[in-house]
Amino acid sequence: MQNIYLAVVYLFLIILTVKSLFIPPYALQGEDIPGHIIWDKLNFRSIRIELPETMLKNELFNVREEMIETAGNTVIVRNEAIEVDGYLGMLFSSRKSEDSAVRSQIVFSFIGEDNAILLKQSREIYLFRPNIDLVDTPSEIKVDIEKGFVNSRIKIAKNDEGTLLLKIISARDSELQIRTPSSMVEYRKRLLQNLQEEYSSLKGEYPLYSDIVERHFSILSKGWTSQEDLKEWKQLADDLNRTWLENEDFVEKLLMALLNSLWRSQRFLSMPERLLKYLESVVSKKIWLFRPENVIMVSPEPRILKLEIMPSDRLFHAYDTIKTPDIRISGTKEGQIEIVKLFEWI
Amino acid sequence: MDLNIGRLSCMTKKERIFDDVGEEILRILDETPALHLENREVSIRVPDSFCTFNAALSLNRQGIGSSKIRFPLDEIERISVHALGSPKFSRLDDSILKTPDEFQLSIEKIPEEVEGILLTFEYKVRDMSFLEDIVHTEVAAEPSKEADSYWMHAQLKHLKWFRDRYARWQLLDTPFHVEVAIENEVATPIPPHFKRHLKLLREVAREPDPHRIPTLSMMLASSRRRIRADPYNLISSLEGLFEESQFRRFVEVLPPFIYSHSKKGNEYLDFPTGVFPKTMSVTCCTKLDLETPASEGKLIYRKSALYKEISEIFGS
Repeated sequence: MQNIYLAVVYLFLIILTVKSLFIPPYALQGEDIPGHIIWDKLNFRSIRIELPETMLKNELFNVREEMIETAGNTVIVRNEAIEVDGYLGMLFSSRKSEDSAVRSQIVFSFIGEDNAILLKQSREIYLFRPNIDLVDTPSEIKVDIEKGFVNSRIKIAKNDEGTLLLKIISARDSELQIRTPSSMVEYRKRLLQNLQEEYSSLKGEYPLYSDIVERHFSILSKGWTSQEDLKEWKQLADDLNRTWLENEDFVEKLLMALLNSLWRSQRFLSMPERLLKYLESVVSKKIWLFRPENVIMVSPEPRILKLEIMPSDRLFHAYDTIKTPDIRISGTKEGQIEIVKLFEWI
Repeated sequence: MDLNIGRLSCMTKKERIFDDVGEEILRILDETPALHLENREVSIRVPDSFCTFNAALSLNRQGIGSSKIRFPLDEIERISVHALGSPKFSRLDDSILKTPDEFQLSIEKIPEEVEGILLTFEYKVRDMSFLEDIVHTEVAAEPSKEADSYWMHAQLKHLKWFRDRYARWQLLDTPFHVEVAIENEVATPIPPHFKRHLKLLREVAREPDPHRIPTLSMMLASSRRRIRADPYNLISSLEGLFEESQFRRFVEVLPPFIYSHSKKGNEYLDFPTGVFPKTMSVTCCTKLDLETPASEGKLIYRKSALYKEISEIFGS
């Protein structure tokens, strides 16, 4: 009976005092994690935040930062550090973990005099990330050029959490090199020409953002050739998001310029081809393959192919590049095969 | 008058937390001996960069004589004046004059018995980049496998600064751009025979050997028979789902956030083909003010409804 009474009092205290405590229920590993506590009429000495090992304090809002104590994964916010009573804004960063899925608790305690815990609440956060493994690489692949079939495939396994963006390139010392099919070369050439025209008038209209326009053009022309490029992409994506907040018109016009260029280039890539390219780029659940149309040229004489698979997540965080061992590839005759056909996603 | 306009002394880097037009208005008011700022209120509508700034001012007529206060700012669309003393809150339209170059406030046209005025400025903010320094927003990059929703969160960074200076301060319709990944619901329901047909169309278009065209054409005709409608019409129906009016049905935004609009996502990083997006960019909004310094929300993506609709288009 006494326990029930205490529970009711405790619940009453929570309802009365903590109006809102938010931590997102899930996040991609490496993602920034926001949160806040809003309370009312609570007399306390400090707030203790116990973070899991997978998270770090990044920034607190509505506090005097110099009065915040941090010991290991525990953050102490003393009452006098809070600028306006009733609100604590939080921003944490999460770390990439060995485990691709981790459930962690963040514990918030309001501490009174004599270190008594007045109120304790926790929130669970599920931190996940995509993961892929090279399961099997055949030492030899034979390609039927007429039918577009291969006798054996490189097997890649992916967990079912998080989206992976993949770029597959040939190693520098690979005998066979990946190339863009001629039909796409023409399409890209025309698209870039059109884009250059559209972007040049956009730069005239928005000189303040000409740097963003140029970087976007450079990224589209260059593509994703190394993990370093991802940093540029991430920076551009962040800058575009920021710009969106301050000048939505510009970002709208940037996207419109891109759409106009696509429209003007459409006769070089038909609608069915666009849909096919789209479908081929979604190679498996939550795997987006870049440039799925890329090919290798094969001949009856076996030649060595060495591939590098560069993964990234939705936040453009680079994951370790996977390098395949040497694969001897031969075809029934001279011809090309899409690189995507050499893979099996399991 | 301690205006402390745009910068916080406690910050290590220069942060701007007031908009540029507002700064200039405050500077003009500060430099006018006939006016003393008693209170202020600000309301900013973020999407159209529109600000309503109320300044409650006491009047000091001693030794001022004839006085015109000029506001030569192109961004100001309207200034209205109300009496704060007696007669209570009456409009004082005669005291404000709009010329082609500026607004002018004439103190001598304000009745003698009025001791204080409320000036309401309505203007377009020139540069909204200050928002980044006052509000932190974050959106889920993607949901976990068990979730069908994207969380959103907004919080004020410097509540005290605004509390100390404003009777009321609010940021309306702070936008969030949620990139809703839809590629799985688009790609999976398209049946293999339709993909084969697309491949044949591509092959026919690219075939350099004219002798192979008849064979390919026969294969194409045979594969066409398995498709229940004109393939181009089916592709067009698919494309139509990404129009805002159609896609709206597949997302639900829970209060206190509201849905604003949606469009095809930002495929700005790979070489795009346009038309078929892997993500839809959904803009949602929320409000922050001195009483609500943080806001959390949720966007629910109805993936099975989209999957079902695409399956119905392709008869899969």
